[in-house]
Amino acid sequence: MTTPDSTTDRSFARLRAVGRRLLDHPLPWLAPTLVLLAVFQLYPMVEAVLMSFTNESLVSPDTEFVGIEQYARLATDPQFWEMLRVTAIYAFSSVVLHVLLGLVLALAIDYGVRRGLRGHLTTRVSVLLAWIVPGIIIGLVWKVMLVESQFGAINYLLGLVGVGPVPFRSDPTLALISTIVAGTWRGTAFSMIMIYGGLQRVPQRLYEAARVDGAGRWNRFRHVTLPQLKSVLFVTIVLVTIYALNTFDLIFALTGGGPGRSTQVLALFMYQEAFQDNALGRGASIAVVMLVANLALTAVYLYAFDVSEEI
Amino acid sequence: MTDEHTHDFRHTHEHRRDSHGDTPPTRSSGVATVAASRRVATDGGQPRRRSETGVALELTDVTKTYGEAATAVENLSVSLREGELLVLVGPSGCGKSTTLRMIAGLEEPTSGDIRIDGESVLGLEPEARNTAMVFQNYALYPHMTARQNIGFGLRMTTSLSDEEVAAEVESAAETLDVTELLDATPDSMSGGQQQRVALGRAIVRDPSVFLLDEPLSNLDATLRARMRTEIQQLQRELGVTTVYVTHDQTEAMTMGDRVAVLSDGEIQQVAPPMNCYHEPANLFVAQFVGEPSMNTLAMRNGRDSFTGPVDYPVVDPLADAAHGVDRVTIGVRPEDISVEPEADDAETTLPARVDVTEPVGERSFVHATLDGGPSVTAAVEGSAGVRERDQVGLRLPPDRLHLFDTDSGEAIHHPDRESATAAFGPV
Amino acid sequence: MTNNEPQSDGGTPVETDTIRQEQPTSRLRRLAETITAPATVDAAVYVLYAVAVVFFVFPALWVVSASLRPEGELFSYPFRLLPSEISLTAYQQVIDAGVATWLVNSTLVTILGVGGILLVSVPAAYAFSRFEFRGRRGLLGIVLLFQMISPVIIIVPLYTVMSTLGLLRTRAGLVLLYVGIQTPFSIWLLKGYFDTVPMELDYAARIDGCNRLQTLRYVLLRPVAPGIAVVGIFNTVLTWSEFVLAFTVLRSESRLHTISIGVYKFQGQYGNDWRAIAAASVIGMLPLVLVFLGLQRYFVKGLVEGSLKG
Repeated sequence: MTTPDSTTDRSFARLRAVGRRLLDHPLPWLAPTLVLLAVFQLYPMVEAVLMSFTNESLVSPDTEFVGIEQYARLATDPQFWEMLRVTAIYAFSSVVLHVLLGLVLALAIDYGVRRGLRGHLTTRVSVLLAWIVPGIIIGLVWKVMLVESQFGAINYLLGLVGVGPVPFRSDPTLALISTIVAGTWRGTAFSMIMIYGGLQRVPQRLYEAARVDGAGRWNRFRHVTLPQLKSVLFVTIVLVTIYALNTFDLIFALTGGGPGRSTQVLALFMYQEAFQDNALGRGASIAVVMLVANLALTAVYLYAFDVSEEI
Repeated sequence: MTDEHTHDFRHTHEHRRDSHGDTPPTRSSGVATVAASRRVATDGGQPRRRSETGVALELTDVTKTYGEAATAVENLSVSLREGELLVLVGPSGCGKSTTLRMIAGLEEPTSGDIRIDGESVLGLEPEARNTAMVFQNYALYPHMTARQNIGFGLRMTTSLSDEEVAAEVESAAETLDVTELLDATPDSMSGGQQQRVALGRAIVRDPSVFLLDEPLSNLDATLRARMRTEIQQLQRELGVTTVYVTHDQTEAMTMGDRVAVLSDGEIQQVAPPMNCYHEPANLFVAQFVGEPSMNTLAMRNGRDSFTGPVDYPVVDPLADAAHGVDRVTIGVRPEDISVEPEADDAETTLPARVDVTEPVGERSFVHATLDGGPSVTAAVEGSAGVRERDQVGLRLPPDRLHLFDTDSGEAIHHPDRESATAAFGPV
Repeated sequence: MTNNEPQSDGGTPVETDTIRQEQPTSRLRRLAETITAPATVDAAVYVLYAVAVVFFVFPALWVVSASLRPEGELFSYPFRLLPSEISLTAYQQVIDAGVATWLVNSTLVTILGVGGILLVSVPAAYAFSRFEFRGRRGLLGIVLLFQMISPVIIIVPLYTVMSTLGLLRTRAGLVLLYVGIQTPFSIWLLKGYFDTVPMELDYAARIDGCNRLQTLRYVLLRPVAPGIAVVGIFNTVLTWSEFVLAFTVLRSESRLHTISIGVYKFQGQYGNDWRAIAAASVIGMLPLVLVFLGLQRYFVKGLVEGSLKG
């Protein structure tokens, strides 16, 4: 009542009112995000496309518009097609293995929790531990595991049953398989945890209803669990696909793309073109190919799962 | 006519008050002192300014539209006396919650004015409007104890010290009998307990207007009935102007001083509950208020009889009222229909076949199909005395009929309530 | 590991009874029943647990075991799964190569990065969940789209962006980049948690006198805490492990190198010294493993509670 200074009070009140009105608009809440997205996502994406039509290079100062030259070059380069194939094999096997293994483990852990089995926690933690190991280190861990003599752990174990030593990293096919296995070692956890989360959200009454209807285990899985997991599976598959398509660090450390180009995925190829051969334009054109592949696959999944209204 | 009805209502009103006299006097006086002390605390010694006119809340031509197509509330005008309890009732989506949220300040009306204690509150933040609200799902802050929940508003809006807040919280908790729950979090409380804490959170701020949004619909039937009385009791003890939103017509009929029936964003009728029941302003109110709801038969106004699926003679007092209206709808409350063992010759008795009888204790509902097609429900005393597929006569006494203009829906005639001989009251 | 829901098995006899009544028992049906009998399934699940634990833990343990050998033991006969004696000389090599710097750098980048990601994405997720505004769905769609784009794809133009902004070879640049790249996924995840909190809580807070910032701070933050934990842990793992962006931004600025770069460079130098590489790997994964062992409960709990519906 005896306010010392009512003008200060009033200007404070006005300031508060302005602040409140500012907070009632979404822009202040979104501004940092919008700026960051514009600088680190939108602009680079557009720039990647633009760059792919130039011959920009890290070493030469002149950049010229070269039209579709970079793409034409890619299209006629048999090595590019080979790398596309390697990438496709790697990504496809990864998705299948990650999601299947993840699903099986999630179901097994969920089952164990419900039945009170021992070891479900240990299993869960073990799988998750593989996921948090940095990709570079996973590459190295498997490099150590796969040493191609009887001194390598895997080769030793194979030796016990009379096989080997197997040239895991120097045989083209085996090298690719090795990268897929190492990738699965890391990636399964993500699928598992996503699907496990999805399982927890399946309403229990649906299972009870299915039981009352006389559905056995398989039918309950087929007609209750799977449909309920649809959107989680969709998200998981999309993310795993994108992740696998763009794998870099693990392969970079494990095989470096070798032997030859047998494990050279597009991400690795692009990186080498851009930063080892300093040909930014050429790297950008590969990036655009990858971008299109990512978006196309996402669109295909969207169509296949028909979850657009659930997102 | 209206005077007498108002008188009727006052009578029941007083009767209710009397029944509350049973509560220990110490408790209510305790509440009064607490409220007074709180007023002192929040208003810095000045008594709160109340409107001169005794109108605590006034809505004038309030309209709320979303975008261009959707109109949630249209030209709604209503005013509440100091201490009055108005029930806003209507089916879901009728705009009642939107209205409540506009009063609270959670939404701004597109046009129109809202005045609390005589002053327009448009553009004011909820806290500045001095309203308190209770939500259907209670909306208790899940991570706070009951004590923190109740005290939160005081901490945010007043400069009360911790001790003062604690005292306010304690007294609010006492009023609502939740003292033992003060240190519990919402997830460990039953629905009824959460409801009480939510009420405590509302009353602790000593609001000018108390807003309740379907506060009982998440409770089971027994608890709902009990909380209904308790909320009424609380409202009268605190004497706080209250708007109560519900879709449940039982709550509307039993709780409010007045009821505002809403449909499609428009007020259909504002009147004491009994008036809504006995003299519904239009077909919507007629069918919405009362359980089971009023039977209606759409007819054409012939010279001597109303014709349609069935015929009914145009007798006094209907003739005058229906004069000049071509399409009329006859309305009759189930309890006004009597079931005769068989159709006699009287024109006011219509032949029908019984579909189902529903005994509900002291009375039974008889659902029957008139020979002309439409089905009607009759409420009779005791057991129905008829069985399914019985052929019966349904007597619709002319002096118990309501008439409505079918095209506008407006009521054009109500039965004279003095001559009411109905065996049962509403509900 | 207690019997959480023993009744989940109690229903099985009922189920088989129903089947028997409805259909004649065929040999195939009997076989199916044997296979799906609880005991059989239990056994299969135990086997699966064992295989999974061996597959996922053995490589890590082997690396630990390899790193602790005395020099030369890895390549001596007979092969040993466990070291004959513990030797820390390999670790000495890694420490001499500057692992302490890498750890400090990674820790700094991770803390700043995750803090920045939360600081940006929590308000944004709040806005997407709580505001109605024109273009909200469109903007959300764009955010989702960005989430679908791996930073690897845009690494070439990102390099030029960083170079233009003068952020190459700076820690601040790397942190900003992480915030920019990881924000979409975090917003998307967090929005799901905000959406599960009823709007009435916001209304109640407003009536209790909170502005939106106070509503977020005092009322909503706690209910979405599991989501914040999930996003925090998720980004901690990603930021700590990230390699290609760090490698591209930090270039040869070795005093800023993170653990991934450090270990990679280290193995480049030491070629076939598996013992040293193993030791570097152990140091590289150990901090996160320890942190994660402590936090994984919250991570799984948060994921399960949240509405990761898609």
